[in-house]
Amino acid sequence: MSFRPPPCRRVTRSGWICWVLLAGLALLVADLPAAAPSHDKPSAKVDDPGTDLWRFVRRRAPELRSLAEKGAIGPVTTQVKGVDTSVLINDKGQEWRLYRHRMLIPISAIVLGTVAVLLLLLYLAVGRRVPDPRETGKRLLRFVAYERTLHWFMAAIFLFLGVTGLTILYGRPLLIPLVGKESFSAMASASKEGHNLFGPLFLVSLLLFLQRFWRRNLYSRGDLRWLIRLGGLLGGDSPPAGFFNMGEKMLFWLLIAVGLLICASGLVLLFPNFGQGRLLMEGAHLIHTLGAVLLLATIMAHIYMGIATKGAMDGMKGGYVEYSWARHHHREWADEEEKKGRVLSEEEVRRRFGEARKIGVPEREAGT
Amino acid sequence: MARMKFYCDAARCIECNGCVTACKNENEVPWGINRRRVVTIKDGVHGERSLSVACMHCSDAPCAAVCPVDCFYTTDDGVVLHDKDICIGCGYCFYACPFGAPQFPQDGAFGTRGKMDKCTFCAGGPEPDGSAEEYRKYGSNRLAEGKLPLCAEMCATKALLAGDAGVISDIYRKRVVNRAAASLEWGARLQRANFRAPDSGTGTETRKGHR
Amino acid sequence: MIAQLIDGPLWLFSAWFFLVVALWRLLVILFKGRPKSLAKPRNAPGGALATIFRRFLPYPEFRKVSRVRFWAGYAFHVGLLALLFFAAPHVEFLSQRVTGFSWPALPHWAFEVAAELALGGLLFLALFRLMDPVTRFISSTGDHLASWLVFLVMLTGCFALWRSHESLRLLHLFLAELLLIYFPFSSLMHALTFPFSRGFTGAVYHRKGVNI
Repeated sequence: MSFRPPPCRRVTRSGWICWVLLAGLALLVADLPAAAPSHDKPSAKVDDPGTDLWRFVRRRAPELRSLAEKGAIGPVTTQVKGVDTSVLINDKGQEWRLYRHRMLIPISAIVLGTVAVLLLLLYLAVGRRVPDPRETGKRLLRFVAYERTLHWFMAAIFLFLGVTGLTILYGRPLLIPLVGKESFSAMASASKEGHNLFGPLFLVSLLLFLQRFWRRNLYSRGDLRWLIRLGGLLGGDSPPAGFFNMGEKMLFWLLIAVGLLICASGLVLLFPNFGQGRLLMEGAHLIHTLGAVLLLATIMAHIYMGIATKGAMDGMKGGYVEYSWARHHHREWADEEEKKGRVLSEEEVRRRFGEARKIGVPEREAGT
Repeated sequence: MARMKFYCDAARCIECNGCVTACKNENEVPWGINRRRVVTIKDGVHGERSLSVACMHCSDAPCAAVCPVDCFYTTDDGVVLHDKDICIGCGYCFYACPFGAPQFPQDGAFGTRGKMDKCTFCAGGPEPDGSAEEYRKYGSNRLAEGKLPLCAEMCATKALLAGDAGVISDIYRKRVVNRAAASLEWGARLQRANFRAPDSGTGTETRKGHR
Repeated sequence: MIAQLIDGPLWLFSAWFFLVVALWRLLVILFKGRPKSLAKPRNAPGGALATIFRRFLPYPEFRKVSRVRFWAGYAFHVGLLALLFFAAPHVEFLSQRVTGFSWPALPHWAFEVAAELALGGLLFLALFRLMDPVTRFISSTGDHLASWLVFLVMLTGCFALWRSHESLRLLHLFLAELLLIYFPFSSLMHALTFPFSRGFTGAVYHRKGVNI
């Protein structure tokens, strides 16, 4: 692996960028207590008889409920129809509030911020890695148009969902001080409606992804060896891999599993009209946010690898990859393709893309 | 500076739902929404008790804490209100509120939430007091007219009390003293008996002298 | 100020502009007529109508290869048409500003399903246009612009759901006005010209004895 030392000028500029990011992260963390309610009203001890009463209600409510369900005492009823209307008190709401404010907002900010800063630092320190600088001029078709479209379809939806979701999560500490409540309300409303509409599309893209790629992502021999050597990260040559290496396979199954969890919990939150109670929704929100933070951090690394490894993005842009890149990262697949005679020359690829108009209308790719 | 509170005297509430009806009528609450509800425990058996529940106008309101657009505010009277122009209908206040006070209008089978609606302590919203706009969005603003919430005013048995916490505490304390005198026992037990863990048994029977 | 401009004069201008220019283009096409064919007619006149309808389905040869685009295309077009003319806010807007009479709107759930279909279909197709070498080759910058402009209009439309914020509604309206102005100059005109082009092809080839 050849590392290209970054030029000096770039380091100073990039260092500056990093400092801004770090300062932003520090500000974010420092500003978090602002998300907690400000006690601008004196919380003087008011002699309120309700405090005692509700304390008893809260202590006894679960017991009364279970007794009522067992039929030991009369039922808990109300004449008002609706979700959870017969629940006198729901103290899980407080736990959910603590989860969102003490854990989710600060920890996800730290996790996502740290991952972003680390990846940026790594990129600035290492630069774009060139696995095999030899330009063979030969190309291999890696992804057909449908697969590329599907990838960018999902990527667009994922990024949109990520941005809108994070707007709703961090907007109050970060954006309200900047743009004011009225403007942020419009932003948050747009984010909410957009998030709701694009959520089901993410499920669709996930299922299409599963249908298209599951077979190529099954475990095959040699994958474990690839994993133990971390895909050549520890030095030495890249271990041989098939069409997808173990890292890509793990990303795929993580995406499918966590993505489906996010979608399922998202649907619970999206349709509040099927009578699901608050407990279920609070739990769904927990799963939804944990999964989202996990996927966001993972996808950041995925984006980093796509950008930092020279030649890796080609497969998702034009569909064709440089033969030396394929040999380096997916040796078994490259050898197999070569055996099948599917290695193309650069001119052939360019002809297929119809870059030069005089060549005329290009042929259709195989297998689209 | 007053600190407005509701208190429902479970020993007096007869589950007539008069407060629910009064609220709905006074505030022209939209379809499917009830800002106030009456919950009955041990319905139909010995020891039945009812409580009328709405927004409790908490000092440290969970709804205000979790609102992603920060649309809640507390008035000088200690009433927790929200701004429907800012609300985006995300439902977080509904998850956080222990009393189930926030309500959402829903449209058809695709249950997207509209803007949140909840008890305003008959204090309207951020619009000018008594304006038509305020009435359309939040219902009536009786507090500005020097009146208390209609639910409490209409309560036939005066179980539901609304007002400054100090005042309703005094009223309640007098009631307790009277009941204690009547039953020669610490009357608060009457109030609490059914929400307190029993000293023994399964809770199916109430202790002697509590009726 | 800007709000009044978008909601008033700009709307009127863009609507009239669209009407006049689109009508003018249609009339130009119609008055051009058919070129005189020197070929010996092998069929009686006709065949235009059949082709107009036959083209709603892909050629049998392409049915398998264009399966995804077929479904995405229909999802987008049907969803968009349903949204454009039967979404409750649009019915209200059009009946107040354009027609003067109202018609039944979709229930909210159908509105959202239509929005899902239209958004998903268009996003997929716009990306496919970029990714597939053939469609990329035959697409001009204007075609890309048209599809992303329509996408933006629909996206801001879904932002403005429930009409909760006037600013979001105005953003949607503003982009729709830009689209109306751009419409007659772009390939989006196919929404109005498709019967003519199909009918023309059908008539010409029917006369020559080709069943197309």
